[in-house]
Amino acid sequence: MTRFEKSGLWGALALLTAGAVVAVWSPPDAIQGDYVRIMFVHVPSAWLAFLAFGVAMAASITWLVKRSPTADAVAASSVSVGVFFTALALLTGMIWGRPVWGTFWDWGDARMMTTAVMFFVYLGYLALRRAIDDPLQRARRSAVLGVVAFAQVPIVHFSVVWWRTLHQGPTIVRPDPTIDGRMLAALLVNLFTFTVIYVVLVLFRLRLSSAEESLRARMLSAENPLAGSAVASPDLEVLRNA
Amino acid sequence: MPDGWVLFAYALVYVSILAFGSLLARRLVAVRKRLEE
Repeated sequence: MTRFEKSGLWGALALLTAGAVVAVWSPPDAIQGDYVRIMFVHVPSAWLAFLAFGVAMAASITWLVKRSPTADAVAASSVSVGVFFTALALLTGMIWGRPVWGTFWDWGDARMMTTAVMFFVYLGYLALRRAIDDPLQRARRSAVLGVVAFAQVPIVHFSVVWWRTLHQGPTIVRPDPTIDGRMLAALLVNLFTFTVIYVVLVLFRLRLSSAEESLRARMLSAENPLAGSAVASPDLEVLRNA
Repeated sequence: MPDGWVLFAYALVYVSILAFGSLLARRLVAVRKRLEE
């Protein structure tokens, strides 16, 4: 690993530790008690899902406009990290819901169900990428899905406003936020921490994609010596200029 | 000291993040090693 990559890993670890310390320092909630501390990992996980899918949508649009292979790689990397954090948001939400709501899951809850649907649609995005061998076809189809699937993000966000079900409404993004200052500080520190971790993970995923692509190109050129570079690395300039 | 259920939630999140990060890092190192061969 390069020095930059090692610094990223150690920085992420240090921030994770700081996030945990701040979560312990924050006071227990008057009603929820210590369970409120789960919010300091649940909310950042959900925020990162939104951020990751937003970045994937922007990268998908960039690919559709410029046919840039880097944009395709950014979209794929961001979605894989976003799916991971969506799973964490769902799991931590269930863990919090059991003692506070008395249930892990409510099939009638708008926020839970829309988040679960979003999770499976983006899992489908990753499955789609694995199912198509041709790089251009894969990039085109996943770019379209990357743009269309993002429509779910505002639906998930506003689900607690549009439908009155079990999940509570917005706590911070509202005209009269009532959250305690130390809880807000703990939440903000963890939001920052998780965002840095997202950036580190996406960078690692991007570098891994690039290294795997180089390896694949080398193996293809070794297997097809007559086809040579035409098979190993398709010329995307042709499509870009079409 | 936080409740055991809260610690479980934190352990799940932290171990998952560390596992995901180390998986990516290890795969990156392995692929680069194969490229160097």
